[in-house]
Amino acid sequence: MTTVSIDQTILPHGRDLYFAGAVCDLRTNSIELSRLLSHLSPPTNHLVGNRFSMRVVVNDSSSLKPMVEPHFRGLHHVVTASFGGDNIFVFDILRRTLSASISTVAAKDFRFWKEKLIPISLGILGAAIGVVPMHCACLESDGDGLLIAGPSGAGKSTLSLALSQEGFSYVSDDWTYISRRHGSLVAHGTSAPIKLLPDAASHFPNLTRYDLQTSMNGELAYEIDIAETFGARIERACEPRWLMFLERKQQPGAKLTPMASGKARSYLDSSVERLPVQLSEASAVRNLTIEDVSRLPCWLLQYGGTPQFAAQHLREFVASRKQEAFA
Amino acid sequence: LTMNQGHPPDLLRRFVATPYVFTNDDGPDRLSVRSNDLEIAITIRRHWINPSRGNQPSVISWKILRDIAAPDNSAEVSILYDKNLRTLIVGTGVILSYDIERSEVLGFISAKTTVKQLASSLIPMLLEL
Repeated sequence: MTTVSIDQTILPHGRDLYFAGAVCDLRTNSIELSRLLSHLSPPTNHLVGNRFSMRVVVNDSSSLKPMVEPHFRGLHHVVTASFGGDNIFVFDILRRTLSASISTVAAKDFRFWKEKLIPISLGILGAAIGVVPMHCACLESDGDGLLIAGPSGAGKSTLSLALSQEGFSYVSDDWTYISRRHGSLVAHGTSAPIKLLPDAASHFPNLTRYDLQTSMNGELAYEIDIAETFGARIERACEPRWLMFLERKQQPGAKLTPMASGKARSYLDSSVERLPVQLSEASAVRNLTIEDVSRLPCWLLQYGGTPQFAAQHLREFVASRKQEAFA
Repeated sequence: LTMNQGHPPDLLRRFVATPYVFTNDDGPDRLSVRSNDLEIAITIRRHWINPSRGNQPSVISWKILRDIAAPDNSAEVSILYDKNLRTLIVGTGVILSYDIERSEVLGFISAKTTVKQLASSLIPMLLEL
């Protein structure tokens, strides 16, 4: 039996980290892990002020086995994620705490933290720390954010990539973390890679240089660094101004139709995991955030053709909205 | 737009129905057991909800689910604990958490884990008996 005490007094290395506008109070017994995580913590001007604790014990006696696929379970306020027996993460949502016992392999795996553990932590603790995860992409233009929602396979990621080549900065392609600050909304991205399904290669031939990988939901996809591969400009946060729902059509062309906020609300509600009654405070925060997001000017974009075509259409739409705002 | 109007996803299995519920009606000290497995519920009630059990840790709420979807691999037992929460994990399929401050035991046991193992071994380890 392995017994691990997550006692702060045996975790000598501490530092504040910043993820999606929230402050993470890291305590660990590993200076290497502390340094590694500091590289994932960009300076930010968009702190929402909510803190969570991350206590990580790196177990020197653990095996050198590679990481395996995660297994998640949760009841009430406790959620566990295990990546094999050597890497166990326990989230206490009520106390806004993540406790973990991990192997030296995991402690050195930069991509694991960047692409999996940080996004997972924000997904699980998000509503409790005031950064609500929403299933939408986010692009930015001159400080204004465009949220793009739609079911998996609707083309959020390919359109995000195409928009990043049309002058928009990239914030996120799949999950965006939204907080409310002084009556405004702030949309945050993480350092997670963009995930593009195999058919995206027909629109972005560069992708064929990369291998398809099995993503966390089991899909085969290209998971790439959009800045490195496509030279996209990255923006960590912005204020969302518009909410766009995507619907793919067989026929070429694009059509934008205003959408009622009630319908937007219904979609956003149905796309997030329910929270149990024990997390009523987090539920209330999430409901208010979803309500605010669904009150943004909201449109349905029905399009057929390439993502580049849809991106041009959206670029013109955003330009016209900005002109109207200045007029 | 094709909206997802069904139930929102339950990836963590938080909302698995627990039709087997035992409670005693002692006002604010009400004890409860919830499970999706009758044998688990009966065993917890018999072994762990008994006011005459002297100095055993106080647990007022139990929710333990049989998790037939979890991978059923055997592995070493790991226990993580801090001031408020103690979590026992066996392989992938057994996860039990004891919230000391809230007097709650929550968790999942895999298809192959017997109720006898749960009652005689796993819960005592979790509660440090």
